[in-house]
Amino acid sequence: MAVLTAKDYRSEVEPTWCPGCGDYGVLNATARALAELQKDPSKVVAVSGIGCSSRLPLFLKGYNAHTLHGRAITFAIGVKVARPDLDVIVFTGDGDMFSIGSGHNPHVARRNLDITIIMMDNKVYGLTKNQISPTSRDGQYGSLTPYGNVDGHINPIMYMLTFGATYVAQTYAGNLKHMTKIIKEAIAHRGLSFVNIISPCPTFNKFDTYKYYKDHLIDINEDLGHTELDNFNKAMEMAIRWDDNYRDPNNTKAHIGVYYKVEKPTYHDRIKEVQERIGREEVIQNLIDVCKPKAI
Amino acid sequence: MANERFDLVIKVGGEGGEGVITAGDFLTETAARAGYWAVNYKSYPAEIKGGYAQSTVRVSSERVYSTGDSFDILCAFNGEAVEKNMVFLKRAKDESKPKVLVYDSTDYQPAEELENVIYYPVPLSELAKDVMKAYITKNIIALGVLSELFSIPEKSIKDAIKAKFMRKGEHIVEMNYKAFDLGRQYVRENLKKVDPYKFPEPKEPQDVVIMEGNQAVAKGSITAGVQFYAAYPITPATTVGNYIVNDLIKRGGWLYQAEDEISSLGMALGASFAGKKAMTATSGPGISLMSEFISYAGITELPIVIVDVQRGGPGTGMPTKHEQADLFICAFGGHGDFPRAILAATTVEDNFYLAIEAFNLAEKYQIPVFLMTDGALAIRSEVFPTPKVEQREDGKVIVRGQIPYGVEEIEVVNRWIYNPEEDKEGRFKTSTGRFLRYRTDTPDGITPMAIPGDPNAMHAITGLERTENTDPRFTPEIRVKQMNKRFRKLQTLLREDADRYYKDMRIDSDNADIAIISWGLTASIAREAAQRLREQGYTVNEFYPRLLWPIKAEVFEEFASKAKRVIIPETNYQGQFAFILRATTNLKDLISYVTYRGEAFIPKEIEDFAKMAIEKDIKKGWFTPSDVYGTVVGAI
Repeated sequence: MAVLTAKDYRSEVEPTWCPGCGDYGVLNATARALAELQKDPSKVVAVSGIGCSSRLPLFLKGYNAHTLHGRAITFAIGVKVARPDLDVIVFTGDGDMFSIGSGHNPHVARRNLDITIIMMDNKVYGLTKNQISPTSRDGQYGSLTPYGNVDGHINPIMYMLTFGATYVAQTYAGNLKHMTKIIKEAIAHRGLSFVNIISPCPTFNKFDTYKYYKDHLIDINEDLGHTELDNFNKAMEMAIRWDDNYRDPNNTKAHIGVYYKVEKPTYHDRIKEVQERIGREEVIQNLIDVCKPKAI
Repeated sequence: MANERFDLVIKVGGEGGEGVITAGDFLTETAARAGYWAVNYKSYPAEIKGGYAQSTVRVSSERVYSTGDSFDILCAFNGEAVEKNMVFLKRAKDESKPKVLVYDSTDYQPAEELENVIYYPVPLSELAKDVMKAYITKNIIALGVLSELFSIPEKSIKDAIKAKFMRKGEHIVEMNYKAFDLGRQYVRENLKKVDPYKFPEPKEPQDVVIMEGNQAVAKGSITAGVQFYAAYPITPATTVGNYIVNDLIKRGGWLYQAEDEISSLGMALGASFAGKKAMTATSGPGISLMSEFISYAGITELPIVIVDVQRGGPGTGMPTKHEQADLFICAFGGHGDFPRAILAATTVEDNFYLAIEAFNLAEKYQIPVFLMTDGALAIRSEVFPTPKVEQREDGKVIVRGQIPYGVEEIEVVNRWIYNPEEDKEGRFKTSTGRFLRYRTDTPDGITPMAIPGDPNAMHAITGLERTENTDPRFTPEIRVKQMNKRFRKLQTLLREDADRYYKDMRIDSDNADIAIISWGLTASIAREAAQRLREQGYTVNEFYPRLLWPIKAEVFEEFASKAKRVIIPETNYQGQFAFILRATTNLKDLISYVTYRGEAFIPKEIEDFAKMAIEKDIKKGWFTPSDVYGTVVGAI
């Protein structure tokens, strides 16, 4: 088979994002990561919900599904359980995954399904034109919060660590190289991988801009020496540290890097074990005949 | 004597956990072992532990589809069981046959002697505790009592006991035999039989199975080739999952317990997109939650089977009660216009065959298909002829048997998968080689699917309106063509498949006194009412469609034209099926006959209303049993 390049993973559909949207970078990095892994496009299934970021699967070649708001994970689980040979990647956003769809996060993580979740975190609802999201900063203005955000925020990294994801990382849409490396690792990881990508929305989020992140990023692995990646407590410590960036954004750094990476049996490993234990029955009639009165 | 019809209804009632339900199951199995038919309607308490439970078993020499109007014999495990059934016992004085009350006399004596009721006191608890030294044998002692009193074949019942307990060891079988014999002995020594009820001699057993409603759904789905089942627990649908899980794993599939019903359907659709037959089963509240994904399945054209084991609504309603009030949500739930089909089972046996048919329609037309059943069917068990499944070497699966709605056989259908070899001229490809998943000009509206892994037909699906090659776009032209394509599938269904589900029709006369159209469990009760009316000299036409949506109007219109009036009995307030028929056919004069008390009709209620409609020349309107009897009475 000929060597595939990044453009071989792109569909004919052109993105409809605003100029300067971070999601363009995520699309490029994903295509590059898939090319570096030389994945067969017909065996990659990208699944998304609704929102700006959730358009991404339509721009990739493969068997992709743009589903309902908040429900990408559910659909992706069905694909993966039915066809474990496929690489299943969920593309989602902060509203899609942590507001309407938040109920699914604990369950996909605790089961350690071999699925990659890539969340584009722009800290705003863009497609509906500027409302605050669960990751919006305090005081952020939106069309429904003209007085500024008073809701408080959640920290996606802490949540996904707690829920049991076995690969948790954060990267930044303005850093194609780092992003490609992380996405590649996440896809290659066996088990539930979660990547939060800080993806600026130049149209609606006037705080989390490229300019701001230019001076505020810090690599937790290289700059902070976070290398004990299988240490859950240290991963949580790092996640809590990043939380400070919400509270005092001008004096604390925003993190990129791998928080946590550990090998554990996947959901499918356990399915296989059960299937082998229970055994096969090829004859359907036998499954019906057990309902006859037992011979004595 | 040998050809005389045998028909007996035995009800066992008592505290949940005392083996009431098990006793009913034994009687059902005994009937099958003795060569007779049986229907067993179980009623579990709503409580987790304890509470009143009962099992009504009708044993007959003919196939019967309901548990009749009332019991002939009540075996009461405690005083509560007698009190709960007092209304029926009191009616005995107006009935030709006596009612028999076998009751646990350990701590209970009936307050009064009722007319036309025969009493057999047996100290069941005392015998279990003092003689057997094992309270759990109470129900087996009771079976011994029933066996001796009513000549229920000893060997058949002992075989049923052995089949149940042999796994637990020979000594457990022996203990239960001893309890059974104790019951028989007690009757011989202490009671004198004065009632007319007698089980006939056992016959050569027929080739039958005994299934519960939800079990039949599970077995049918396995036969259809389901590979993925998404479950979220909800009464009364949960046990479809209980029954399917092991078979599914043995067939290489998997049951996934989802975090909610929204996820259940999302997961099932994901599995369907990945190329597997997929399903979920739920009840009304779950259907409400699934509505958005049902609509999504409609636009993305993903095959999916959704089983609605209905319960009493609205809201949390009456989870353990029978109702048929989800027809509207199954027919109309979900936003926007999209094609779908609804099949509804009238019996446990139907559940088996219609589960296969539901997959066939879903896979052929790439639409959401509902299989509607209900809480009463879910836990009812039936003896019915064993379905025969032929698995051919070429992979074809053919199902035969006495398929109750009149078709000869069912061939399992698999979806149309794109094959470039069959598309040399590139009908399903753009000039640049992109796959036309939703080409709009096929005559039947159906287009090939493609499953992940095939490099020839990669595409994305979306809930947005889309071009033929799945790009989101909603110009008026694209929109109209795509909508027409989707709905053309329903026209094809009406043309090619609807008649299969319309065969359970009987025309006595071109100008019958009354015609009955009914669906679901109510149909199995209406059938008995119709037979009784016929025996009284009325001409009765009957129609029990299994396909409730879409509606082939001309079939209903022609059927209705052959009778002076049409009644539609169903268990919901609004007369939902009648409403749908008024909306989709030229039939406006239909008579809705409804009950919404949480229990099914009994045949007599339909029979009496039909007679009233004939006598008073009623042609249309909305009626309940109160209009017949002037009072609201629970039937079961």
